[in-house]
Amino acid sequence: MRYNHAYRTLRELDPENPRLSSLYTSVWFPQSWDIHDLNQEIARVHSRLPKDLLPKELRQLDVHHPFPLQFKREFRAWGIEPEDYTMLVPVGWHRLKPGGLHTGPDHWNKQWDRYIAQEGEPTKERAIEHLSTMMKQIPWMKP
Amino acid sequence: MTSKFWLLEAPENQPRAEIRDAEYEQITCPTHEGHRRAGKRLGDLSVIVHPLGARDFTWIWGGRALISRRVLNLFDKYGVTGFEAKPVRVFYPEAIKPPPPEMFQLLVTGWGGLAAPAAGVSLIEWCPACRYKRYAIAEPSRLIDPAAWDGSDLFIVWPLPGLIFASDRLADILRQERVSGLKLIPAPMIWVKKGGTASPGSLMRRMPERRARELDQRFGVSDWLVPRS
Repeated sequence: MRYNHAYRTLRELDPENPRLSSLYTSVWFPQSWDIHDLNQEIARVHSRLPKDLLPKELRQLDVHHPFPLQFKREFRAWGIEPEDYTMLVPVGWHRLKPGGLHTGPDHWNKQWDRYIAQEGEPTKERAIEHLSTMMKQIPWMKP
Repeated sequence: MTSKFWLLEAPENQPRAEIRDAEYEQITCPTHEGHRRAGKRLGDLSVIVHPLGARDFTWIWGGRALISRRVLNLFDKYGVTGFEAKPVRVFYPEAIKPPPPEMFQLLVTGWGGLAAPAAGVSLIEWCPACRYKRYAIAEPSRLIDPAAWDGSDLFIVWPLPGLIFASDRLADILRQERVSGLKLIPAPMIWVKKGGTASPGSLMRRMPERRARELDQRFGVSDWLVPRS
C-alpha cells in the first residue's frame, strides 16, 4: 500500500516521470528501498514544479510516520525503524482536515496507543500486519 | 461484593508523556524471526512531559499511568489497595524552566483474575521455542469474572495486563476528590473490539517480580490455555 500510494502521488505530480514505468512487473514485489526511492523522486519533483500548477491537494506534502515517533523506542525494540516507513501525504489529510490521520477522536497515534496497551508484547510481524490493517481503513489511501 | 468495575483511561485532550532513553529486553525466537519482540523495560523510568499533560494522573503513550504525590496521599488516606508506587524521573521539555512535579509510576498489583469464561478467550498462537502467546477475546465486554477478582481497588485482568481497572469504591473516591487526568469507563464499555487479540507476554513485565511469581504459581498465568504436550 505504501508503494501504491507513492506511485499514485508521483503519477499525479508528473505523469511522464520515467520512474513510473521502470520497475513494475506482475511478479515484482516492492521493497522498502523502492518506496524510499519513489519518495525521494516525489520530493524532487515536488520542489521543482511551480506550486500553482499542482493539484490543490498536493501543493503541500507532509512526511507521515505510519509507525509514530512517539513509540519509536518500542518499535525499534521490536526491530522496526520508523524512519524506514515514512510516506509523503497531503498536509490536509495528514493533520488539517476532519477525519485526517492526526485529527479527530480516533486519530492515528491514539490507535497505536490502544494497540500497544491492548497487545502488550506484539511481535514485529504482528505490528506490521496491524499497520496494514490500519492503512486499509484510510478512505483516501486506496490500494 | 462490588459488582461494578471501571477502566481507567487518559482524557482525550491530555498530552501524553514520552519515555526518555528507554531500553528493552530483546526477545528473539530460535525458530521464527518474526517473533522478535521487546520484553521488560530495563532501568529506571524517566519521562518527558509537557506541563499541560502533568495532572494527578499523567499518562505515558501506550497506556501506562503515573500518579502525583496528591494521589499517593489520597490512596494512603482511603486505604486503596492493589498497587505499588515507584518514583519516576520527570522532565519538562527543554524550553520550560520551572521544575516538573514529583510523579510515581503506578504499578498495579491487584488481580482481577483470568478473563471470565463469558469473554470467550482462546489461544490462537503459541510458540514453544520462545513462549510467544497470542489470545483472541470474543466478548471483551464480559472480561471480568467478579468471582476471580481478589478485591483490590486497582487490578489487571489477564490477558490484558496493559489496561488498568478500578473498583467501584475507588471510582467513587476519584470522583469525590476530583482527581484530574482521568476518564472512568464502565468495564462493559471497554474499547477492545470483539475478537480483538492480545499477546500479554510475561506477568513479570507488568508487576514486581515477587507478586508476579505468586500469581503465576497460583493461577498458572504464563501457561494459560497452552496445550499440554
